Amino acid sequence: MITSKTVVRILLVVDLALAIFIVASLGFGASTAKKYLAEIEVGRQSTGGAETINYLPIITEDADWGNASEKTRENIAKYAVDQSVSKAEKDGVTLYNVMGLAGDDRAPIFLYTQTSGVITIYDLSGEKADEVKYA
Amino acid sequence: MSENTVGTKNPPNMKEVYRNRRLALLLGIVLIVELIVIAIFVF
Repeated sequence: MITSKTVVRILLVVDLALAIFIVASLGFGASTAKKYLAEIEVGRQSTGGAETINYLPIITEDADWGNASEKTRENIAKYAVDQSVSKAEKDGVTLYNVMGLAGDDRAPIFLYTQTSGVITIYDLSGEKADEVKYA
Repeated sequence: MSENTVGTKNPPNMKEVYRNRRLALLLGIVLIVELIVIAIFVF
């Protein structure tokens, strides 16, 4: 006979398992993104008097984009933006726009920009492919 | 005498039963929230 105590025990086990899965997934996403992102390159560009500071995330050379899922790429893009923003804050620079490259010739490349909490992802042709809200 | 006490030998502690029901309800809500979080991650 299934008692209320048994139901509570089953729910407790299932809840715990799901909670561990969620936390593990979050950690896995961040560690995968870290694996792909080597460093942030800072460059200065002068165009007719106005100076632009570029914060370009550098992707590791051995990153295998062939195996990276869309979700992983999105995670990497978010992580790269996050890193760029925190580096800019550390440098005392206000970022209006972050552009980065995520991908190589073996896999589709997308560029992303971040403006007021929104990452716009562009595909190879330069057309807007997706928009991701970013907190 | 013994027949009369068969059913009431281990009477359920209703306080505990109600507490377990509340716990089950709470855990059920947590389960639904966790499933929603996973669904958001996946899609």
